[in-house]
Formats: sequence, C-alpha cells, structure tokens
Amino acid sequence: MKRASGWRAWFRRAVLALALLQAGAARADRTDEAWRRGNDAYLHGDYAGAVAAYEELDRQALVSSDLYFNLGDAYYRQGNLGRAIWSFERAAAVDPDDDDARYNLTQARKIADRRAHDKIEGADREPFWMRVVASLAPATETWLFTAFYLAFFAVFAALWLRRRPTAQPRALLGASASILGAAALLTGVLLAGRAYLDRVPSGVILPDAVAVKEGADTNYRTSFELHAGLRVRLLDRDQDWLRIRLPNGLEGWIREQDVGRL
Amino acid sequence: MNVPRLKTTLPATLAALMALSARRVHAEPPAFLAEVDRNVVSPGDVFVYEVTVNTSGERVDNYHAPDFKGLTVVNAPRGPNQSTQMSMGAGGTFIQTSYSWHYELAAAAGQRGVIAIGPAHIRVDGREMRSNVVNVRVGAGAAPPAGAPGSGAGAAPTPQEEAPPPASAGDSSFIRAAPDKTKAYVGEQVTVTWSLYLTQRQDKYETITESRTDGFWSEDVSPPSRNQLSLTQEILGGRAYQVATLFKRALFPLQPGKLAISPMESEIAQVDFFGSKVRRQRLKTEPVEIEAVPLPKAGQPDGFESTNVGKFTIAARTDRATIAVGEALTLTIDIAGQGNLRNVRAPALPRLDGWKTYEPKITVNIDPGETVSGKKTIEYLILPERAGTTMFPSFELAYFDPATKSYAVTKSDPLRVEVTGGSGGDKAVVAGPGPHATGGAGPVENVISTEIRPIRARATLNRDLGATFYRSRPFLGVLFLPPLGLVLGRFVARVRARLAQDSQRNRRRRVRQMVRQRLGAAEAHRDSGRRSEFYIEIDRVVRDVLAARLRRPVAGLRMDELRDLLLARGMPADEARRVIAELESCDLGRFAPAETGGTAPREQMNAALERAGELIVAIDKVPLREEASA
Repeated sequence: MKRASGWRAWFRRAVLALALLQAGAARADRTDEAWRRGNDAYLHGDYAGAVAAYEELDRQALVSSDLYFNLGDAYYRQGNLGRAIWSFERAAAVDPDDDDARYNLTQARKIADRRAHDKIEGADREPFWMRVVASLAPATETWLFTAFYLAFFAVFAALWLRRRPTAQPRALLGASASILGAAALLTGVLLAGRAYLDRVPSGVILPDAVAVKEGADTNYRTSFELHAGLRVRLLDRDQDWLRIRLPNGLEGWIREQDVGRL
Repeated sequence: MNVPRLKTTLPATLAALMALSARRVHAEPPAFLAEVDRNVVSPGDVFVYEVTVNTSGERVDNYHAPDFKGLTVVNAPRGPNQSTQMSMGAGGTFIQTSYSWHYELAAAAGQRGVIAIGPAHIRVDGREMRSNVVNVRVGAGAAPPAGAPGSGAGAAPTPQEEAPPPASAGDSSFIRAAPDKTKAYVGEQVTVTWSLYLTQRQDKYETITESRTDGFWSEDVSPPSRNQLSLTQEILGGRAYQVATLFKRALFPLQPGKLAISPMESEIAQVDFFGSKVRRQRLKTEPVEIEAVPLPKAGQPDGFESTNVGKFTIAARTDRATIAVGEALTLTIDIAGQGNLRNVRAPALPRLDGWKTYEPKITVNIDPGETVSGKKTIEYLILPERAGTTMFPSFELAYFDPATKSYAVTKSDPLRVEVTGGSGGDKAVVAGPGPHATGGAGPVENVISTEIRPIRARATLNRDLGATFYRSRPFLGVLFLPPLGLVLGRFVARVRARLAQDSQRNRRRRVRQMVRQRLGAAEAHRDSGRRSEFYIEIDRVVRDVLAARLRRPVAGLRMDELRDLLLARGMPADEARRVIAELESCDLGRFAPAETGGTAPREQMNAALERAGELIVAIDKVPLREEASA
C-alpha cells in the first residue's frame, strides 16, 4: 500500500516537472516571437511597433544587452532621446565591452546635448573603486568569482580532508589554494562593490525637460530644470516622487515616471 | 481654497483693521518650511538656516535636524524657539503656535559647489512631515537667478489693483468676478479677477464651487495662493472693505458668441475657541458674460491661423552656419509677443531636400504679468545627408492684432547653411516645396556617414543571465554550500574515525560477553556432570578468543599449525605452549575422561575452568602483530 502511494507521488512529481518544462519552453517561444516581431517592425520602419514589442519583453524583466540595444535604437528612431540614452546605458551596464552600445550612446548624447545641455558645475568625479567596478560586466565579475571560489574550496577540501598527503602534492595544493583564494577574494570584493552600487541606484532623465521640485509635490517651488539623458542618483522615494542628486550634490524631487532606472 | 493667514498691507492708520487681519484665519495643514538667509556663501561665511513649523495646537514632536552635508554647525539650538499668538474677538479665541529651529552654519575652507541641506523631519499630531530641501552654493559668485535653489517660501503677492465697484455691493461681505472687458475678439485676452470683499474679520475662507469657463482657453496669470492672502482697504459705496484678490485668469475666447463664466461659490466663517466654524456665510459671484466677436474677414492674409491673435514677432536661427554631413543642426524658430502663445501655430518647416528632420521640441515660456506674453520656441533637430549649401527661406507668421484691429505679417530672416564633407560639391539647395536650384558638377564623393549602429536581428534573444545571477538565490547556494560541504566532510571524517575506534572496543566487548557465556555454559555442564560437553565448551572459548585476537579463524588448524601461527604473530613461546597444552588437555578430557589422572572429574573440570580463565586473560593481554606485518 505504502509502495503504491510512493509511486503515485513520484508520478505526480514527474508530471509536474514535465509541465514546468513545457511551460518554460512555451514562454521561451513567446519571448522569441516578440523579439522577432520587434526586429521585423524596426526593419520595416515601424518604430512604434518595434518599441511596443521590445517593451513587452522588457516588462518580463529579461536581462539582455541585445534587447536594451535594439530598444535604444527604436527609441532613437522615434526621436525619444531620453529613453534611447537610458536603453543604451542599460545595454552598456550589462556589457561594458559592447562597443555598439557605447557608440550609439555617444551619438544619442551628442544629439541630446545639442537640444539642451545640462552643465553641472562643481561635479565630483566618481570614486576610483566605482569606476573599476563599473568597468567590468556584472556577468564577468559573477562568473570569475564563482569559478575561483569553487576551485578554491575544491583544492582546499582536497588538502584538508586527505589523510596523509605526501609532502610534494601538499605543497602544490597549498600554493594552488592560496592563489585561488586570493583571486576569489579580489573578484568577491568587486562583486560586493557591484552589490553596493545596486543599493544606491541611479537613473536617466527621460523627458526632454523636467522641472525639479524642492519637495515631493507639484506645489513646491521648482529648484532647477534637467534635460533628457542626464544621469542622476536616486536617493529616496515618497509615493510616486523620487529624490535625486546630481553629481555636484544638488538635490531635488521629480516624478518617478520621469526617470529610467538603471 | 483655504487661507492660513490674512496679512494686511495697509498703513498704520488702519490699525484696527491690521489687528484684525494680522492673525491667522485658519490652520490648514501645518506648514514645515526651511529657509536660509542667503543662497550663495563663501567658505568660512556664517549663514543662517531656519526651519519653522506653524501649528494651531497640534502636538509637535520627534524633530530630526537635517543632514548638513559637511557644513560646520557654528551654533545649534538646544530646542525650538516657540511663539504663540492668541487673538480674541467676537468669533472666539484663536491660538497659533510656531516652532522654529535656528542654526548658524559655515562652509569649511575647501568646500565648494552646491550643497543640498535637508530635509528636516518632524511629527505633527502623529503625522510625519519633512521640510523642503534648501540648496546653498558655496564659492564666490553672484546671487542665483530667480527660481534658483534655496529660495524660501512662496513669492510675494502681486500688488492689488483697484477693482471697479461691484454690481451688487451691499452691506455684507461678497465675492466678485470682474472682467477687464466684456466684449473681445475670438482669441483676444480677457483678464478676469476674482476678489473677496470683507466687511468684518473672518477666520476661514473656502472655495465651494469653482467658476466654469467653457468656451475659453484659460491661463492663470495670478494663481490661487495656497499660503497667504493680502488684504487691502477699499471704499466702495461709502463703506470700507478689506479686499483680497483670490486669483486672476486670462481667458481667450475660442469661438464667437456669448460665452458665460459660471458663478463661483465660497464660504467664509469665523472660528471659535475650539476651532469650530461659527457665523458661516455662503458667497457667490454674479454670472459674467463675455461677448466674443469673430475676427474680421477683410484683409485676412493667406495662411492665417485663427489661433494667432495678439502681437507677435518671429525669428529663426541655426546654431551654426557650417556643418559636416552626419552632424546635427538645430534650427530654432522663436515666436515672441503678447497673446495666447501656447495656441499660436508656428509656420511648418518646409520640406528639406537632403536633410533628415526630427519632431520638433516646443517650449513656451510665459512671462509673469497680467497680460499673457512670452516666447514660444520651436527647435528642429535636422541632419544633412549630403554636402552643399542650403538656403532656409523666411518663416512668415500672420496674426490679428486686436489693439489695431488689423492683420499683420511678421517674417524671419532667411538662413544659409553650408554642409561640408559630403557629395554635391557646390550644389545649392533651397528648402521648400519649390524647384531646387542646383549647380556645379564636381566629382561625386559618396560619404557614408554613421548615425547609429543597426539593431541586432538575431532569430533568438540572447540573455545575460550572469548579470543578475549574483542577486539570485542560487548564488547564495554557491556562496554557502562549499564551506558548509567542507565542514560537513570534516565532520563525517571524524565520525567515521570515532566509529572505527568504537568497533574495536565493541569487538572486545563482544568477546568478553562470549567468554562469559561460554564459561557459564561450561560451568553448567560441569554441574550436570556432562564432561565431554564441558571440555568442548572450554576448547571453543579458547579458540574463539584466539580467533578474535588474531582476526582470523583458527577452528580448522592442527595443533602444530596453531603453534606456528601464534609464534609467527609474536606470542611468547611460553604462552603459545600454554595455549596448545590447554587445548590438548581439552581434547584429552573429551575423549578419555576416565584416564585423566587420579583426581575426581569435578575437581579436574574446576581446575580446567580456572586455567582457561587465566589463559583467556593472558591471551587478551599479550601483544600480537597484525597478519600483514607478520
């Protein structure tokens, strides 16, 4: 009797796993279908259609530098420079070695600057460690750390758990563990820096011009005006308002919809 | 609209009225405002930062000073400065309490740039409030422009103009909507002022129903104040009124005919000691009607747009005169003047052959003042696709000027832009629908400029899983499983070693148990007189003990083989001899019980039992080598 119920439980699990696999495959099909639809619309000059398809994918929280890049191109063709810059920034953040994204970002910024240029006086340069962390792709940092970390523990386990290692392999294992441990520590620090940066998010101004208020309400006075494409730090949130900080320390409040989070 | 404070602006001769108006009418939501005495300071300069909350008796606690961002606090308050105003009158007593924290701050020597102070936090009747952020620029420089960071609370109210007498001025308070004209052209500005006339002190004002201005485009020229309302003295029909301008609107008729401005309803009241409204009064404006006259047909220029009513000038400019192929040029059209600028239709950008155009960016800046005026800016971003000279013709704007009751046309200057670096040589292009004047036949240089790099049209979407893996739960597994595995492995190894030790001990315990059982069985055989079984038991127990020590069976071995084995495993010769002798004695006892000597069989068995016990102890103690090393 017990045996029969055990088989039934296994059967149920197997069916569930199969259903999950099938659902995953169906979702992947839908993703690719929307991706192709967006590309097709773009190549036929239907930039609104392309944006709609790419945004549909973006809402699924997919992380893809290709998606952000194409979305940026579609926004650019629509003349929506703020969102184009935001998308290229996202693509470059996911893959800092993406030359195409960096090139398009420069082009979009150049044109946005010709419309309106925000000259930030007294802006501080980002600290060195932030520039180092941001210069590497998150994926590269993650995989390097994971590889070094696991290899370190594998070697360390071999060293520690082995009962009577002879002198030569022991020295070799010790040296390997030291090198791998140092590499894991270094990449771990980079990854911790990245996690810290995630906690202090930044964003890009989306509309052509946005009035920055002294408080989280339209009735507050306007402190200053910002224009599309400017990067700002996001400090605080009050309902649908965000407190932002410029590189020179200037602060104010804008509506959440006017900022694209990076 | 609620009015927190009625502030008089009349001279001291109206002391009674000033006393009347200097008090707070109603404490609508408590204001928590931060201010600085100046916005630009030099390093080392001491300046004042003050944050104030005004309440009408609410509990104030949990004040947290703002983050001063590295500024030196020269002087900090130990607690708030508290001031209470109490007014007594026919309507009761009203108490207003202000709490302010006064700081003296200074910028450090090396500190420069803009510093954002704030917000400060406070709890008023359990509700968290935060003050506005105040920006201070540290460094030499001029004062910031209007609307720049750091400006304090609301702007000063505009001076009150003397309004014409109302149609229904009576003895009591009233409100009135007064247009500056009752007949206007479609699109012409009509300024309407909504005013409050008070015959006695009032503590609260509230708008019940706003006026509807259907058929008009409405622009606030003096929006409703949220904080303060200024009162002035006016004599109407021989009676003194305190007059407050509530708000002003510029209305632009959108269609001809009689257009109505519906009445606005409001309520005024006095407040008693407990803050309850007493002596409420409903006020309502008289309906206002504006006659909108259609624009004259005579003299209407071609291309005139009916929204262009006012007085305007137009100008066009480019941000550069020479540009390379692929670069962006900004063509700006400015329309300045008086009128409904937001609705003014700018002339369309003509078709630009060889140029790529983007949707324009339109901004409208309205200047402060009762007459709506300012500038509308249309910025086109255009990109040349080939080299040559482009002439942008004049942009023309036809408008109707209500002041002169005539049409006029304003024109911009034509513009010339040289495009270099592409094909076309000296080719000249005239923008517009007309024929293009082209010239020159130089060598064609096909410049392929790069705008942006094309999309990635792969069949499937690549995902960057690693970009977010470090924020996922599986990554926590990667992080914690290896050290846990290591600790677990170490633990298992220790347990296994311990178990190995335990098995040796257990083996000895089992042997001792077996010895006890066998010797007990032998004693039972002895007591029953079963001699043969007794010796079999003794023989077996000795052999089992040997087998346990040697970790190999010894049951089938002959005596000489057993002796050799014992000697080979390091048992001393005497002990080996004892073992063999005892086993032979057992054999003898089993097979020839009658010939084992002259002693009685029971005593023989007792002696054998005693010898076997001693032998077992000796076997257990003697050191033996392992079979492999033997």
